Amino acid sequence: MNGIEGRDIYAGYGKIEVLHGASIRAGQGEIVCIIGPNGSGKSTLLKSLFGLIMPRKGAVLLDGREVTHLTPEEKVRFGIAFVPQGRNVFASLTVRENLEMGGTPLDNEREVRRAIDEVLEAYPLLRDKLRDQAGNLSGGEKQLLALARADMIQPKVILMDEPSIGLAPRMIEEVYEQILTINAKRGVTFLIVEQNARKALSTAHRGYVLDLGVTCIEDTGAGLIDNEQVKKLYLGG
Amino acid sequence: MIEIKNVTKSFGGTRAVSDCSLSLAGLKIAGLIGPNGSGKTTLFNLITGLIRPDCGEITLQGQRIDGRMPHHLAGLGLIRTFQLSRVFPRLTVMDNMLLAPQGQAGERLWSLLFRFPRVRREEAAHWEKACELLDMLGILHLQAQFAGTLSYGQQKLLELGRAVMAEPQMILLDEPTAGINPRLIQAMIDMILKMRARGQSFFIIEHNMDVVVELCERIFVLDHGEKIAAGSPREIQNDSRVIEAYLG
Repeated sequence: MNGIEGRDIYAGYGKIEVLHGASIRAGQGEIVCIIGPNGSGKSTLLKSLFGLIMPRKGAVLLDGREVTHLTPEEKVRFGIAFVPQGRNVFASLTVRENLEMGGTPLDNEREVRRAIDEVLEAYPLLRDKLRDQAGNLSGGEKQLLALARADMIQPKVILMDEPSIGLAPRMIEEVYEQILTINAKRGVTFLIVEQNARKALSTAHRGYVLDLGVTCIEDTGAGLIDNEQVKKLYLGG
Repeated sequence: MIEIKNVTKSFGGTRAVSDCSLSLAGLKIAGLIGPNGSGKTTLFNLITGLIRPDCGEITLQGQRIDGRMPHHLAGLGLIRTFQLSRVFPRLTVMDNMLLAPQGQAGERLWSLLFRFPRVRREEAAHWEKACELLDMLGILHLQAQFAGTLSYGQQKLLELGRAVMAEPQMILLDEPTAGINPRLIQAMIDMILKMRARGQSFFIIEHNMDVVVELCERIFVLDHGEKIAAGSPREIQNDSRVIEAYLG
């Protein structure tokens, strides 16, 4: 299968095991969303897929090939990008320098310049801000920059941890618009962890509910929003 | 309660808060909203003494508090939480809770030595209260774990619990529901309303408009460091400037 897949993943920190056999897949060009209570292991699952923590058991597959034990640097070269939680940009660097950092895996400077041009094409908001310090951007702009930085290498798969966290309502719309655009234009696969479950599910093709470290429900985005049990247990109201 | 008069704060060339005045007098729960980077957290930092205003004044119950140290203000009954939680990672969840109340009898050598029964009674009461709050927040089962092992959202719940444990006059919450599961958000709202009924006041920065509308009697809106609107939830939701700047 093309896309990314996590099979029966066990992972944790020190003595504490957080994931007890979580399985998830996002086919090529799919937007898949993971929701679930606090502490259910959503961020841990993304980190295990990316290699920031190594799964103790289970496998990570990219386009059907096993990549479980590759480091994050290696995974980036295989076309997996990661946008961490909390609008993580290099605050003291300019927007351009942030993009250059995202281009580190590229072969030479010409490639980097070309990639920046392409990214600016896709993220016009950043064009006027190229020389600004990233720390001075608004929250929404930081999140877009973090996404654009990940997009520098034109990844096949983008893993995103709570893109909407702490954002003003209209910026949330903008970030999700951008996700939809990239997905539609280039067929990039998205695997998104969210607490803002309604927004994420209404954007996603499919979704998973993760609870107590296992994936317990899987359905289309709309199906999960309508699911009575999901509503009661995870969406509130 | 808290009064802010003509407060301004600049960082380098950026005016983070600009000639801002607002009064929380008579309000049990007030809200502060605005786009990212509009100065909300800076205003909280000014109120809680983390930074000093360039000019203007801030008073609590008529007493001037701008420029006072945060621990001083905590003693006066002003407690806050942070966007990114600041719990003690190497203490257990329960110990984090038990440390929160201000001025405990057991903190003084005198009462430890000569009023030990009272110290014990107080600690037992705190323990019971901590259990009740942790249960309400859905993290009672984690009480023996190190706080540092909790997920981001769970740490934020713990921080809210710590603020409530201290029983201050006023709690300032900086984005309490960001990163919190929707079902727990309801639990949080219920908890805040319950505390309000007991006389607790809140000042809340929050982006989740459902939460703001359900909780706040009055909402203040900042944009580029300036107060652009103030009013009831209904007035704010229909204010064209607010829609333009914030709601979209």
